[in-house]
Amino acid sequence: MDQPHPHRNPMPAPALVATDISKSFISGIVKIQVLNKLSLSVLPAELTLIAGPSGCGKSTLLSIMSGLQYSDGGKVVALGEDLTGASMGELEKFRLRHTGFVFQGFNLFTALTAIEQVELPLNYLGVGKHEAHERALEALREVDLSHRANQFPAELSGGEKQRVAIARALAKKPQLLFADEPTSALDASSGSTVINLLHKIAREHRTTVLCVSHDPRLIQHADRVLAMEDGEIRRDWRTESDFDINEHLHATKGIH
Amino acid sequence: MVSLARKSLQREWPRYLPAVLAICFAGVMLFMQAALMLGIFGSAAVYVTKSSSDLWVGYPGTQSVSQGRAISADVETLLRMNPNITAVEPMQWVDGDWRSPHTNGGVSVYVIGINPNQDGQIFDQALDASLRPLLLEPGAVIVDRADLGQLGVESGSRAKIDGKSVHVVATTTGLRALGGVNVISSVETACQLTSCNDKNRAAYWVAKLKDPKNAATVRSQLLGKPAFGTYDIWSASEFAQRSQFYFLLDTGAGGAFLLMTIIVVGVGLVVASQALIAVVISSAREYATLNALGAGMAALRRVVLEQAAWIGGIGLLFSAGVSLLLLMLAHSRDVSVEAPPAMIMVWAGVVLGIAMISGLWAMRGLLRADPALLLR
Repeated sequence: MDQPHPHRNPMPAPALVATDISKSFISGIVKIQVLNKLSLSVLPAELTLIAGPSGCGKSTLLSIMSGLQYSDGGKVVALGEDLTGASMGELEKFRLRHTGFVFQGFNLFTALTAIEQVELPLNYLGVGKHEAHERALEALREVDLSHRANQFPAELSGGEKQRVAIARALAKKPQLLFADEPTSALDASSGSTVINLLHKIAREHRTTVLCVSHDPRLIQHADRVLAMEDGEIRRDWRTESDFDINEHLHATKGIH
Repeated sequence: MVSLARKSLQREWPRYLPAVLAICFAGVMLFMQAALMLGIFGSAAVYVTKSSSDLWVGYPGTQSVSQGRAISADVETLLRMNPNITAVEPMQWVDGDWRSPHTNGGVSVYVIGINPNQDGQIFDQALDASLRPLLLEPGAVIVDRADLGQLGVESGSRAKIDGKSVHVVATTTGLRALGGVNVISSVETACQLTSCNDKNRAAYWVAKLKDPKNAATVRSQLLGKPAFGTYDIWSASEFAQRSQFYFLLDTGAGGAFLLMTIIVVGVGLVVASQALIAVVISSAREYATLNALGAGMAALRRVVLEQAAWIGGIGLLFSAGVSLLLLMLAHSRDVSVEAPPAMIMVWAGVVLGIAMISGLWAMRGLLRADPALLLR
């Protein structure tokens, strides 16, 4: 990699900061505490992977940090904006301006072609027709699917569908990209392509990519890995250096 | 701008077909029901609406044309004395029992005695100028061609009313009656055929005015003259409306019409909204993804409403086509149907309203489009 590593000196401010967030669900008469005063900072322009077994709370953490769901307590600051007291409408506006999502299910409209899927969110952003088309085409080119732009989801493979979903998120030029189990429904080869794409987006677009997965194959592709278990982060390490993120954050922000 | 609603409809039309068919079905039902009801209402007042008389004089309290009771011929004098009136004539209305060799038992008929001369006002818009003189022949009658089967005769046949011979000299159209059969004759024939005790009495006296706009003024000039007998006076439009309202409100037909309308609208709403909500729910994950990407719930609701509007528009077109065919069929079978522009406008509004309310109802499906659910 010719580019300087983005988190090297000087250390950028975290793009996402969660402080003491808690979340519980009621199941029947049982209250399940999914997250318990969890704190976390995510640095910009890198791929951070939250890994852990099913049910450990990683998807709940992602939904709270991305503004999809409210926490029961604690505080979430994304790109300097406090999401904690924001209304649903304010959260929608925040997501529209700043975030992209990639889900395990590709969730593509069966009636739209690949390029229309990508153009659609741009329409809601108020991007003009011509520009939306150009940006959608560029995003599809980036995921190497421009030749499939006019295909419907039924005509695409699972890996191609997920790449369309990534292009859909990417075309918005988001500063934050959230991915929930993006490779779980894919074979090894497609999964590898998808995670490499996410990594490339973090490096080249300087997008903060927060990915949750229980797929161990992804660990080697991430810049930073947070191992989660029972609603807590048990381990936090970087894959390409011996840089101790916890030590840095303690020193700079007093977090975690 | 990618129109999700339109493209979904174009490319996944089978999923929307039940909703379109529900709207189409409700549309056809409402259209034909309204057209039939208006046709029947029209029948109730056909004696007035197909005549050129401006004023109708009848027994006080008469609710509809068919309820007429004989009044004194003195009224004729009163009418003729008024300088605003240009022509006066009687109209007889008597019930009779029709029998022919081809009917099983009798058929109730209304014998309507009119002026058979060319200047006659009653039914001057329904009878050809060539037909009216045929009624000058004693015992001559004209019937609606659609009633020939019921009367067991053909044009030129003979039959009996209350045991007295009649001759069907011609047929016409658009004069079908409610609850009986209209038989048109001259005033003299009507009196001969039935127990007409006093030839000088008639169910109605009708008058033509120099200026029909003065109907209200002339009416007030003529009222309140007890020396000329017991009578009341209505303008033609008032009497037609009175006859139709009587049928609508006092016979229970209005209630039946209202009930049927509620049922049809209800069924249309339920089927269309269920079909639409099924489509919305089947795309709930995609809507949730759009919401996660920042498309607000209001924007997603607009997509559902746009779909509903398209469904309503397409359903309306289909139902208009089917209704037109049924209307033509009804006309060809001499069934009384009417579809004036005002009715068509109201009908189109109701059909589109059903579609849009279905869309509002189907918005409930978006409750499942919670993006947080995609992460579980």
